[in-house]
Amino acid sequence: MTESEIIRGCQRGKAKYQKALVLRYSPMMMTVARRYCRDDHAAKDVLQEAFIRIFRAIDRYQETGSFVAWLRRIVINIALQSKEKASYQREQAGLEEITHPLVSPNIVQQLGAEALIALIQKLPEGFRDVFNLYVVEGYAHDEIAGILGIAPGTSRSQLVRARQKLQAMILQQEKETYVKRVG
Amino acid sequence: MSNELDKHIGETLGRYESNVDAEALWEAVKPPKRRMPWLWFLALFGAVAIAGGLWLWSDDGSETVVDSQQVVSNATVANEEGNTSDETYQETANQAASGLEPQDDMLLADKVPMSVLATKNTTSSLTSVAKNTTVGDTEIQVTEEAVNTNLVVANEKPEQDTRVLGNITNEASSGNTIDEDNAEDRTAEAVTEDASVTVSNNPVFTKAVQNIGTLAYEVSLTEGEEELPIITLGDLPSRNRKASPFFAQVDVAYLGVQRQLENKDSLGVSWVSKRVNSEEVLEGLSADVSFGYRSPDGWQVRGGLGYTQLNTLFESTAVTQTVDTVTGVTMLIYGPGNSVDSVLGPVAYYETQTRERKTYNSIRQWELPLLGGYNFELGRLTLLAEAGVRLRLQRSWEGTVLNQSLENEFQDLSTTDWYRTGLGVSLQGGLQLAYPITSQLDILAGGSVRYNLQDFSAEESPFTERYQLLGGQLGLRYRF
Repeated sequence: MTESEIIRGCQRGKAKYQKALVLRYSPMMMTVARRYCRDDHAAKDVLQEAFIRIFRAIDRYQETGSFVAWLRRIVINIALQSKEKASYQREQAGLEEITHPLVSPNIVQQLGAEALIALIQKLPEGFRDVFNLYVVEGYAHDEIAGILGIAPGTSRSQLVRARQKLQAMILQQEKETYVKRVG
Repeated sequence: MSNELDKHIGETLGRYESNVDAEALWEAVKPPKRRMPWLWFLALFGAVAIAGGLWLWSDDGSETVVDSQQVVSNATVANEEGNTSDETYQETANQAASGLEPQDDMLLADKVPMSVLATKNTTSSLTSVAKNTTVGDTEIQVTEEAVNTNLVVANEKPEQDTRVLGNITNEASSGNTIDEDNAEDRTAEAVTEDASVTVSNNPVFTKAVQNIGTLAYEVSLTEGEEELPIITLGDLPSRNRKASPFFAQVDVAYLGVQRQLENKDSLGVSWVSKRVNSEEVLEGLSADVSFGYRSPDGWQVRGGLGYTQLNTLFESTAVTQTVDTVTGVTMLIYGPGNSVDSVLGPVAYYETQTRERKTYNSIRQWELPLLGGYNFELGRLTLLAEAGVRLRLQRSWEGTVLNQSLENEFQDLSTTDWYRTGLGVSLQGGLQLAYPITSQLDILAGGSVRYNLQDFSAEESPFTERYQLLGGQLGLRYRF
């Protein structure tokens, strides 16, 4: 079943094609959701909501752009919107404690996808969103500012701090691993 | 370092797929199944039919009373104009005894004059309708008013120049149910029309209604212990017996078919040509069974179940030629003295196969016809003008067409998704002439046109197919 067939089938409301859409694209979309959420439980909620919205909105999808990009964008929008509704306050990072950590490229290369997702989920929310949008999705700071409703300068600064925070967490993780290994 | 980290994260997570229980996710997000909309159509159809029937039925009742009153009024006027009682009764007797069939849609009870005047001088006339016409010294007038539960019997006594009216009332003799066929439930009490006149022997009338099923009844009047005349009013119908406005109808139709076959894109042009050249559009066959309601003023509605099949004939002749080699003479060498040498070698051997294929293709559909119309009375004939919709419930198809690209290959239609299924709507209109074979059975003949609002093709089909139908139909209509 090709992507076009799935799209047309979903546009006709055929359950067979809707299921095919879920089976084929949910792993990729789950990765996106996990990057924007603080845990996998929240990511699953986002993913469910995303598919419900996709089934409703797929009539309006026109096969001019990448279908995968369209799906990702829906997941990201829902993830960001869900945070706006969340009751918890945005976390504040202890930025003063981050002091230009240095992480070896070798260590970075050894980090697998699951480890990276786990690290990203630990980032403070504002950092995490900017970092994902910039590094993985490839948006410019102006676009990120528009999406998140912040100033472009804020986007830049949060990106820098997100990187620093990530490096610090990687170093910390590496240190703990080393201690366990030696000890 | 930042670039290294960004690059690594971007590349790793950009293509990474997380483990997810997609089946469970599908169960959580799948849209609820669409309820079968044709069930709603059926329910709606039923509700409309019932509501329409009840409305028309109630309307019918009020008009019956008006008709009856008019008849009574006419009879009274005739009497006042000096017609003899003989003439009055004779007119009644003729109508009652001749067995005139009721006109369409008018209740049988309404066809009989509501006033009967009998005298002892009219014995000869009465015998034609009454088994026992002994009147004695009393002139009796029986007046029947078309009121559902009351029958008025007038006993006129000329010598007293007064009139005795017998009011028939219904009263249950047992339980709470009134059985109008039961004599005990129907009693009459004599009252005088003029309060100043005293009837010396105030009679009490009883009435027995018999033979309801054969549309005849007897009236038995008893005055005290003296038996008053028994008058049998021929085949007068019971007031409780009404010709039913409900009917059943069966129609079969033979329809000419106009097909519009077009390709959806430029690639399919040659395929359309193939189909047009190899398929002959034949006919449409249809049958309906319906039930309906017909109001006294000529309007009717009916609905039921219909089946329509559209036929085409596919014919194709495929010629295939296979080439094989056999050992044979490849060269003859003529020598001196008329000698001939032959050279043997592989020789091409051609085998031609002609394969003719002929199949009848068909598109079949079950439908729900819902039609409304009006009956124009044309003497014995009735012209029914009818229009409505046919709701398509289900469609299936089978047959063969030529393959798009391979010259001598065929496409089995039944394996394709080329035609729309599920609900669809077409419009139908037509005229039918009805001729009564019996009092309850009509034969109908006429023509109809069906216009399909939707083309027949599904999205998967490379074609756009549309069929329109025009043809004749025969039917039988049975009125309950």
